[in-house]
Formats: sequence, structure tokens, C-alpha cells
Amino acid sequence: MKNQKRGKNVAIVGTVLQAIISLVMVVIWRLTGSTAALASLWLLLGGIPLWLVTAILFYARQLEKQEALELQEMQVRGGGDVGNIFDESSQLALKPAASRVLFFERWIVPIFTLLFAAYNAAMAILMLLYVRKLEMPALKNTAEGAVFLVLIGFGAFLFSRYCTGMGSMSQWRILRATGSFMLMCALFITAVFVSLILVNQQYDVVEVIVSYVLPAIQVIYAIELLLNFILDIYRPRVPGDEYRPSYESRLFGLLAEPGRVGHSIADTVNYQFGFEVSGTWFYQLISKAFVPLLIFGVIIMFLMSSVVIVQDGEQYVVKHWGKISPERAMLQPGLQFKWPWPIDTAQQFETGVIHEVVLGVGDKVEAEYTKDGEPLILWTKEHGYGMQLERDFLIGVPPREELRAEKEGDSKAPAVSIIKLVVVVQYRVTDPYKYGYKYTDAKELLSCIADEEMVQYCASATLDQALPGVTDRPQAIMTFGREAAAKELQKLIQDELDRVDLGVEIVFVGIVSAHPPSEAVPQFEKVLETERLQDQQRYKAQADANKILSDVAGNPDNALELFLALRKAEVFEGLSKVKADNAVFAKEIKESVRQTQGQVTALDLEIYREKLLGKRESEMSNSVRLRDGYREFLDQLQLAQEQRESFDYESAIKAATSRIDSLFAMLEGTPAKLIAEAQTYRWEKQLREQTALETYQRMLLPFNESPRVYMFDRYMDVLDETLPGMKKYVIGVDRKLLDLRLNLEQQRSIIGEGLEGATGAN
Amino acid sequence: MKKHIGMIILVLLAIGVLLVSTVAYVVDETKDLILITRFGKIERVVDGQTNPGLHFKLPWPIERVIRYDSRNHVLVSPHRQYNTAEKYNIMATVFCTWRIDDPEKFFQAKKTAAQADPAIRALLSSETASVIGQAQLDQLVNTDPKKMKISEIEDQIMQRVQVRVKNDYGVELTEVGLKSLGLPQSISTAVITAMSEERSKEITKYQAEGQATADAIVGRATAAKKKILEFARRKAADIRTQGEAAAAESYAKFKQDPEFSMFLRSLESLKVSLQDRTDFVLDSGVMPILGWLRTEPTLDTFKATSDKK
Repeated sequence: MKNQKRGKNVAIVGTVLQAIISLVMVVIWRLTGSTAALASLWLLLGGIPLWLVTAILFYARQLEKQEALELQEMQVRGGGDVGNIFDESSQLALKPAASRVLFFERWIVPIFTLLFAAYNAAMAILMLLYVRKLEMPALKNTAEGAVFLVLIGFGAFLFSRYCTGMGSMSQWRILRATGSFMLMCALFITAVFVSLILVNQQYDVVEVIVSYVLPAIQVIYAIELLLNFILDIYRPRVPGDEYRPSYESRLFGLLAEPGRVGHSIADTVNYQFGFEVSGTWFYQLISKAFVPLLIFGVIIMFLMSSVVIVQDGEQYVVKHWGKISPERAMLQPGLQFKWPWPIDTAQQFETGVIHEVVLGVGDKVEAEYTKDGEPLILWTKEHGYGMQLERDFLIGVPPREELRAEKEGDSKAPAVSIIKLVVVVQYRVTDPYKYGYKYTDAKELLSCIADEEMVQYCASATLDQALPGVTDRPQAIMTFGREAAAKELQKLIQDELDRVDLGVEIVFVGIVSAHPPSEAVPQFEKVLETERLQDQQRYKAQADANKILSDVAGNPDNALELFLALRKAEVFEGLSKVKADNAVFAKEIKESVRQTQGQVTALDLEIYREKLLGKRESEMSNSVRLRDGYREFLDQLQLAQEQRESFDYESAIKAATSRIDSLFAMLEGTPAKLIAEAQTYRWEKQLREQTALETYQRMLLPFNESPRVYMFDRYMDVLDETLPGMKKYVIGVDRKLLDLRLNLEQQRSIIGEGLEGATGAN
Repeated sequence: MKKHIGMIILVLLAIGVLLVSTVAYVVDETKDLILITRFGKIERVVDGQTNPGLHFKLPWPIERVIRYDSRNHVLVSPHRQYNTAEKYNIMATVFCTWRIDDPEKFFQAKKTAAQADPAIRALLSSETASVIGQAQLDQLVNTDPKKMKISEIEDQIMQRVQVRVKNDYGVELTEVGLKSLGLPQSISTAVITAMSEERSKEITKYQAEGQATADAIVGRATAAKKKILEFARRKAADIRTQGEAAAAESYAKFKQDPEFSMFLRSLESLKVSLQDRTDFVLDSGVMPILGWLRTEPTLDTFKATSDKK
């Protein structure tokens, strides 16, 4: 009974000590701002109920022992066996304290274990989430904090050793659980101490590492407690077996008694399976070879640090005592050796890997999905890229005077438009020294510079407007200009990265998303629709024009070229006539230049539009040739405007005429028909007259011999030739005596021959 | 004792390593800039670029190693609102890169890079506000790239911040840039409304332009057609005239006996006139042929008949 009371007292002292070290840790956290201190605090605070439960358990056992003594006294005084007159359950009814201990061990301790595991898991996960989002603050009063930590850590360590020592005796067995827990607390305190000392020595990264490691260990502890709870349910109960509470950590137990690792493992297995394992060869092997194996493992790990396996696409920079030795600086792919750490260090660079940064995205957004579960991306919804909200980029527009007036409050509309633009930049590290050692965060700098170039590039761009002839502004980055914009951006970003000497090569820049803000989308879509209608109208007009020109020349392009040649000839003829009169010449040439300039612009625009619709210049060779022809004509006109009288009009006219002739020779259609008819007429006329002349000359000789006979003979020849096939009506009496009525209508045939005859007669 | 010799050696080795670690330090060529302080007073500066390798010092707490990263630090200011000279509100993010130029001054002023960052960030935001406050919006966003002054604005911000950080913190700025440029929500709404209105105007313009372009295309083709046809007709007339001219040469040769020539031509004409499907009514009193049947035909008779006709 005294033993249980002593155990209870130790547990109460443990509770108080746990509360004190928790309180001190709170103070240290506030004093230094250390996240590692905060991370350790949750484990320390959790120890208070652990000690309390242990104290209650000891107290219950103390009462049980007291009750057993009282029953023993009753038996001695009564001289009989009290238990014999009752069954087993009745015996328990007579031992309420024993039954309470049984209840406590069977129900309260497992439930506490479950709750304790849940607490540790929840606090550790919350802490990990907190650390992940936290930007590590600068620590203060680290030296003072470290001193306090030494004090409480040492106190915790001593008390844990005391409890572990007591726990090795069977009456205080349950103190082993709290003792090992206290040792774990001492180790947590030591970790925080190391973190503060190293932060004090400028190794800030240790604070981050410790802040992650402590909650991670706490998660492992929680998982182990949960497993203990489950295993305790299925553990075979062996009579006389030592009770081990399910909140006792086997892992912490190993730390509390490192010299007895094999023994601890054997004990654990014995307890769980209910038979003696420590007598087996396994226990013997582990207990003898553990320390040499540990030393061997440490040596192997140390030696392993001198081996580097370099894979293809990787480069390692090796530093000897921090100094780059040029001959060994870059390791080649394969198995490589270096001095072990900390003499040589090797830093890996993935030079073959294509890295990627996404620009133009910000906060996360909720996605909308299709029926098939695919993310739905519409211009009309704020969709983001990769679940991140798209950022605005500003684009310059001509001043909006009418919109500058304040409409609502101070919401002025400056001369800008907004575009949502998401750009993917892929790059490869070409120089690990520059990439790794010139900037602390090369990727962040790359992202900043690429963003800067995008801001500048967009600022003078157009959204979807085409500007023919303009070369210094990015055009239509939202529509047909995307590819050109991506190429230009790639060049700009690469130039800028080369300037800052970042040691990377941009391998690809792609505009993955470019659209107006969702509120403006309906109007933009309407514009696109109108543009397509405009294209339709233009195509129809072109088809009509082609028909007209085909009628006139068989080939529209030849027709337009001929038209140009005719115009050239006409204009130069006109100008040559008025070149002496300065005023008239100036007026006429100005008008000609204006008209020709208009033609060049119209053709430029036409070619440009076709290009936008995907045609290559080679596919528009006729339009391009015609445009070039007009440009040449414009150049000639401008030269004539400059030279006036000294300009060689004759050559220009000759060249135009020559071109007309060659084009005219190729013509088909109406003009070709006209020319053919004229030529036919000409040759018919000429030949007929030549034939008549030849006939005349041939007949003149016989006519001169006997004019009357010859004429009569010729006349009769005609009648002989023509009359036989005709109907003839001969009036043989004096016409005055006759009333002659003729019906010249011919009988109609069934197939209309008569109709033709009647028409001929009329 | 003999049983634990291995463990003792291990512990002694660990203690030795710990002792060495308090007096030795490695200076990394690529990123270290180290201050050695003796009881808090700066004793010496070791620059990794000029003096890398293994160095020694007195053990802690006599001498302490203050390790700085000598590389360029990248710092991004918060996305915040600024006012341009004409009182337009804009949102901008500015970034800079900085490096420790004077480690002793830096140690006295800021101790660590983590402490320097907020101070430099605050200066960057403040000077950005001053410089943008003197700039027009069209110097940041303009349809004419030549009128944009973003680079000049970045240079101005850099110069202003440089003076302060160099003197106060021993830090040198190496780069300043404009990472993002946007508008506050209320102004964005107004701009989006304006964009929609502009699009409506464009729709009307495109509709009118479409018809005008179509008319121009057809008109150009019609004009070309007229011109070519006119030219073709002129050319055809020339050819016909050439035929007439050639025929005229023959007419001169008919002068020898014009009446016979005309007689022959009349016969030709008569032959053509008396083609098929012609009904012939012969009046014995009028037709000369009947007269010719009774009397010998003469040229006079023919002439008289022709004149009657």
C-alpha cells in the first residue's frame, strides 16, 4: 500500500513539474518568438493529464491494497473463508476498490489513450499547417531563452530518469510510461534549445526544421497510441502478468532505456503475444550486436556521404571546405566520389529538366466542372488558371474624353483596357553557378522579370485590333497576335535574363489564356460575330468582282493588272501633255498619287486580312504582285512629281503599252471577242474587196470585147443560178386589167418550219 | 571497462567533433560573407569570394560567427495602391534585388536579412509612391511605346531607395522592376464599362465598313471592266478601220470602168438577194427580162430599169 502511495506522490509531483515546464515554455515562446518553442508546448501541456491519470491509477491501487488488507483481517477474525460462501461475482461485489481498479484499467485508461492520441494528432496537424503558412519571424532573446531551457530540460531529464528507475520495479511499473514521456519532453526541450542556439549563430534554417520535426514526431506518437489502443483490445490476458497502460509509448520507452533496446523490444513482444521471447536467439543477438551495429551504421553513413550518383540531366557543384575547385567542380553523370561531408559538399542542379513558371495568376478560386468532371473554362466566368485567379494586365487605348467624367463617385475610366493573361514560361538552367550562386532565389527573380516584361509588353499592345504597317506595337495579343506575342515575349524575357546574368535559357513561352474581363465578354463576342459577317460580305463581293473581271478578261488577276497598265499609260500620257503647266500638272499628279496611294493601302489591308485568316503570302501571289505593281506606279508618280519635266514619260508610256499588249494578247472574254470580230471583219472586208477587184480585173477583158453580150450572159448566169429553186408567178396580161390579190402566207409545218418560212417572207 | 571500450571511443570522438565545431568554421565561396565577433564586437570580416575555405576562431562564447548570404536577395513589395500625378488610382507590385555591400554597417543596423527585408520593403513602397505620384498614367501605359517611361520610373525608384539603404543599412540595390500593374476594383468596373461601350461602337463601325468594303471591291472590278472594254472597243475599231483602209486601196482600181464594176457588184447583190424561200412574181409589162426576150438587151435598157428601181 505504501508503494502505491509513493507512486501516487511521484505522479502528483510529475503533474506539478509538467505544469511548471509547460508554463516556462509559454514564457520562452513569448520571450523569443520561437515557433519551435510553440511546437513543443503542445506535447508538454498534454503531459499534465497523463500524470494525473497515473496518479489516479496509483490511488485506486492504494485503495485496492487497503481493501485487500481489510478483507484479510476479516478472514483472520472470522476464521473462515469469506469467499467460499459467494461465487466469483459476489467476491467482486465485496471488493469495490478492486473492482474500481479493474474498471479503470479496462475502460478509463483505454478511453483516455484514445482521447490523448486524438489531442496529440490534432495539435500536431494544426501546428504543421500553421508552420507551413507562417513566414518565420526574426527571433529575439535567444540566449536568455536557451538558459531557461537548459534549466527545465535538465529538471525534466532527471525526473524522467528517476521515474524510469522506479518503473523498473513491478509495483511502480506504470511510472515507466510517464517517465519515458517526460524524457521525450526533455528531448523536445533540448531540440528547442539547439534551435535557439543555432539561430543565435545565424543558422536560421534550423528553427524551420525543428518547427516541422517536433509536430511530425507528435503525429507519430499519436499513431502509436492509437495502435496501442487497438492492440490492447486483442492482447491475451495472462494471469499474473504486469499491467502496462495503453498510453505507454514503446518508442519513447526505447529512448528512455537505450542500453536495453533489445530487452525493451523483447519485453514488448512478450507482453503483446503472451510468451517469453527474451530467452530466444533473437534477444541474444540484438543485445550483443546492437552497439557495434549502430557504430558500423554511422561509419557507413559517413562514408556514403562521399559517394555521389549523378544522373543524366543533372549537374553537381562540389565545394571543398566551401571552396570551388575548378578541376572537380562539376561532376559528370555516373558514379562519382568526393571527400565525405563536411569536407566536400555537393549541390545538385537539374540542368536537363525543363522548369516552369506560370505568370498572371494570383489567389485560388473555386472551379466549375462539366458533367464529366472536367474543369469548365469559359470567358464569361472568372475561371482562373490551375484553380488560381487570373490577374489583370493593363493595355493602352486612345484617350476617352467622354468617359473621363466621373460617373459614380471617383470611379474614373483612364485610357486603358484590361486583359486577363496567363503565360507559361519554361526554362532550363544552363549555368548552375549563375543560377545557384548569384541570387538567393533565382526562380522568384525569373518570375519577377518575366512579369515585368509582360507588364511593359502589354502596356502598348492592342487587344484584338490589327494595325497594318505598324511595327512598333504588339497587336491583337488576344486573338491572332498570340503566337507573335509569345515569341516576342520569349525574346524580351531572355534578353532581360541575360542582362541580369541568371544562367537560364527560355525554351518556351506560351500564352495559355488571353481574354477580356468576364463582364465585357458579351460585347467582345458580338464584335467577333460582326467581323465574321464582314468577312462574309467581303468574300461575296470578291466573288462578284471575280465574276465581273472573268467576264471581261477570263482571269480576274490579269484584268486588274491590265487595268493598272491602262491606267499607267493614261496617267503618263495625260501628265506628259500638261507637264509644262505647273499648276495643272501639280493638281493632276496630286490626284493620281492620292488614288494610287488609296489602291496600295486597300491592297495592303486585303493582304493583311487574308494573312490574319491564315493565308500565306505565297498563296496570295497575284494580290501581292498587283500591290507591288501599284507601289511601283506610286514610286514612278512620286518621281515624276519631283522631276516634272525631266521625267522620262515616253519610257513610262512605252513600258505600260508593252505590258498592255502582252496582257491583251492573253485576254479571254468580251474584249477578246470584240477584237476577234473586228479582226474577222477586217480580213473579210479586205479579202472581199480583193476578190471583187480580182474578179473585176479578170472580167474586164471579156466585157470590153462585147459589153452587152457579156452583161447579158452574166445576168442570165445569176438568174440561172438562183431562179430554178423558186416559186415564180408570171403575169402575162396587162397589169392594169388585173386585180391581183396575193396570199403570201406559207403553210405551217407541224414542227414550225412554216412559221420560219412566214417570218422569212414577211 | 574493456567491455565498454568501443562506446568510450565513440563518446570521446563525438566530444572531439563538438569541440572542433566550436572553433572551426567553413566559408563558402559562393554565398558566405562572415563577421567574427568577439564578445559582441566585430573582430574581422571574411568574404567567401576572396577568402573561402576552413577557418578557425576562438570557441563560443568568446567569438561568434555571424553568417550573411552574399548573394543578391530577391524582395517583392506588397501589391498596393498608388496615385498618379493626375490622381488616377493604380495597383502596383514592385520588386528589387539587394546585396550586402557593407557587412559591418549591416550588422549594426539590421543584424539579419530577415530583419532587413521589411525595412527595405517599406522604403521601396514609400519611394514608389513618391515617384509614381509624379508620373502620368500614360507614362506607364500608352499606345505609343516611345512615350512609356516605365524604365525611367524604375531607375528613379532605385536611385531614391539606393541612397537610403546604402547609407543606413550598408545594402546595395542591384535591380528594381515593376512586377505588376492593375487598377482598384471600382476603377476596373468603370474601365470594363468603357471597354463594352467601345465594342458597341466598333460593332456599328464594322457593319458599315463591311458594306463599304464590299461596294469598293465590286466598284473597282466594274471600273476595271469598263476601262478594259472601252480599250477593247477602241482597239476593235482600229482593226476595222485597217480593213476599211485596205478595201479603199481596191476602190481606186475600179476607176477604169466604174459602171461595169457596179454591174458586177449588183449581180453579187442580186445573187445574195435571191436566196431560198423567195417567191418571184414576173410582170411581163414591167420586168425587163420579158422585154429582153422580145428585144435584144442593151446597157441602156438595164440602166433604165435600174433607175426605175
